[in-house]
Amino acid sequence: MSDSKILKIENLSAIYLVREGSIKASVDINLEMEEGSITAIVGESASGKSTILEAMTRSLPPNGRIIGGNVFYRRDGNYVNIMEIEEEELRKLRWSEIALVPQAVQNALNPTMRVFDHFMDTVVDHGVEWSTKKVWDRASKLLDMMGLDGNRVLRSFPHELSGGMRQRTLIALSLLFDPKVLILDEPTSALDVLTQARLIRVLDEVHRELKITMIFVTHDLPVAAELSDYMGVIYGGNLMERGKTEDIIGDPKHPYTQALVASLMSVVGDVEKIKPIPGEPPSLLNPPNGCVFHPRCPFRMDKCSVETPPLFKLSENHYVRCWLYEK
Amino acid sequence: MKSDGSDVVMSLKNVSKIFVKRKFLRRSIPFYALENINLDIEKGERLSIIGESGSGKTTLARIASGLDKPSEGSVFWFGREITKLKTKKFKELRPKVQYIHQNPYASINPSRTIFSVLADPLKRYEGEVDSIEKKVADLLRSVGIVPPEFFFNKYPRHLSGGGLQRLAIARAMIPKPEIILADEIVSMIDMSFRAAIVKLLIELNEKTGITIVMISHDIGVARYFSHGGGRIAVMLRGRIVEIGPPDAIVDNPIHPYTRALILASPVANKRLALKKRELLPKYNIQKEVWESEIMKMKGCRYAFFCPFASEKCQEEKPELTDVEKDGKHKVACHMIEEIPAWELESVG
Ligand SMILES: Nc1ncnc2c1ncn2[C@@H]1O[C@H](COP(=O)(O)OP(=O)(O)OP(=O)(O)O)[C@@H](O)[C@H]1O
Ligand SMILES: Nc1ncnc2c1ncn2[C@@H]1O[C@H](COP(=O)(O)OP(=O)(O)O)[C@@H](O)[C@H]1O
Ligand code: SF4
Ligand code: SF4
Ligand SMILES: [Mg+2]
Ligand SMILES: [Mg+2]
Repeated sequence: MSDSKILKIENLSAIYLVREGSIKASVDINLEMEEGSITAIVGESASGKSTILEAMTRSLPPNGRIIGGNVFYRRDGNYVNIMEIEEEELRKLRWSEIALVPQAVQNALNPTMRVFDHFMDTVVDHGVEWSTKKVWDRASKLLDMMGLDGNRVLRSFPHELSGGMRQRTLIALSLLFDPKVLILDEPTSALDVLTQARLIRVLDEVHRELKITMIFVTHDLPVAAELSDYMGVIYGGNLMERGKTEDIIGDPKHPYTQALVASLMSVVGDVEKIKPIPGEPPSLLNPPNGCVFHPRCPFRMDKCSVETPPLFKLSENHYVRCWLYEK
Repeated sequence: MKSDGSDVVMSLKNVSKIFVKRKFLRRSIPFYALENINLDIEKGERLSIIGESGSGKTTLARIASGLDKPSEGSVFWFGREITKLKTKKFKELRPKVQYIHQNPYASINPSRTIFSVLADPLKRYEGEVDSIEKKVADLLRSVGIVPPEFFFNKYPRHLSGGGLQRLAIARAMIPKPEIILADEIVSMIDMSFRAAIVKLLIELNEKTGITIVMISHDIGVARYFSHGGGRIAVMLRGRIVEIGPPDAIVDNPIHPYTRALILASPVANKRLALKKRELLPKYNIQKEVWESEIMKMKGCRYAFFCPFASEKCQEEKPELTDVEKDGKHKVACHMIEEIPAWELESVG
């Protein structure tokens, strides 16, 4: 079967076990990634964004549990279910096909090791037999592509690099084995605005050059909008809306997405039209019944606090989890 | 009173803060976290101070609030230099200036109930009053923590980050201050809350006439906060490089750094985002910052990244000067004549 989707996440659910009970961090998530596209997963803090990335790559912390769902990855024309493959195969898949750059990686480099040694270690760890020269050349080429002076950076210690340079170095490191899918958790959020703008541009260029599939998480809707082709909006552990980025920004359908777009304090547009969202995000330990957004929703109906809405399909690419779109 | 009739509640005159800390070629060289800051804050205004991390925003706010001392220069509250005040007088004025910390988790005692977080300072300022429950309830309601009675016996941990910031704002209002300096109070809270917290500050200012200084790294947040009569000051490495009302700073900026900040701020509209990305290099040379090179800068703090930089810029520090005679919009740049018309002006 020919299909342009490189990844399909189906009904993925995950929880964290804590003393007080279970945190429903990822509820019945459905997402698909077109090969070569960029998908942004947007949501506020603690909405469950990182959980999706960690669940789909089976790298949840020890108290995390996947309680259902499948993640299909297309490899040589066939789909393998990441949820079902052996540990050993998963390990191989992780760096060579699907690379994950985790959140808060500012301290991920060892301060006592030169940047080059990080590349060399990664190669050795994976039992790849490359000569030192080959590793240097490949690393320096990747760093150059990230807009850095590769040879200088490779000779440096991490503390000599600025935050933005370190972030790009880590992305270069994750590209070492030429993965097909690059997953980034909050790649820009620790950065200042000019450094962030630079990284967005670099990621865009890398994407174009390598034709890699990219998935990234951010809490910043405008950042998601600038860099992505497709977008998924997460709220309280649920995927509320997904579709083409321009459709979601230009004509958001879900009441939460609409409220979020209207509350953006941007440098452009009419300030008088900025509209704060009343209320508070839900607790994932005791989420509200029915639609998780119902306590804050201006369109709430009786049904909304009782029954959880399914993901309704509006068009080929546009899905919304809201009773307003029940046919 | 200033010559135009407005009251100045606070001013900084030639304020610098020096930390001797950066090592360069084995020598410790003094590092200016603030350099020659001159700023008059007018009664009832909404002033935003923006800048990237390390630009000196917190240092400025703490010195203005009397929490730290400047290395050079002086701070005036209500026309009086604070170091020259008698201890008694300083103690009397102290509560009129309130600083709100950027991290609500660090500034509120987690082991006290929400009621006592507010009731204790209320008693301190107003003495024992019989209607204390009502006063606490009114305060909570005024910052949107409702229903207030529900929260009386709860603890700060029962509030979200945004809720905690509301509580911090309520507490700061207790001594009936003349001025509040709120340091990055929206940067640690959820995006769906941010506009609501900024709106709360706007409403407090409009209802009570209190002067509010809001510090942020986000120029969009500053634009919203200061619209309708306020001002925005842009800081770069310890200096104010441009100051004026939002329609000058955001819609008609002059300083190349201010322009770069605006062009670098992400926007949801993709077409506009592309246009901004195209324009950014005109105002910002994207090159790597190796700390050792930055330390050598003598003149304009932006010269390293500025496409308009001349020899003079490398040597001499530009001072803030008026763009128009009304004195509302000021810029510190040697090359104002060379800066082209602003391309993003009418967008949005
Ligand atoms: N190891 C863990 N144990 C218990 N709860 C956890 C754990 N990791 C995450 N959680 C909780 O699960 C929920 C979702 O967390 P997640 O890290 O996926 O959110 P996020 O959207 O990535 O947030 P952020 O923007 O802060 O990174 C949150 O309520 C969080 O507190
Ligand atoms: N106590 C201190 N000792 C040494 N350096 C400091 C101290 N406080 C601040 N700095 C330095 O002064 C500069 C300005 O800091 P700060 O005012 O916190 O900036 P901002 O609030 O804009 O991020 C930074 O380079 C910071 O590292
Ligand atoms: S399902 Fe109901 S409460 Fe939820 S977003 Fe739609 S209208 Fe609002
Ligand atoms: S003074 Fe010179 S270097 Fe500084 S912003 Fe103006 S033109 Fe650029
Ligand atoms: Mg996360
Ligand atoms: Mg600060």
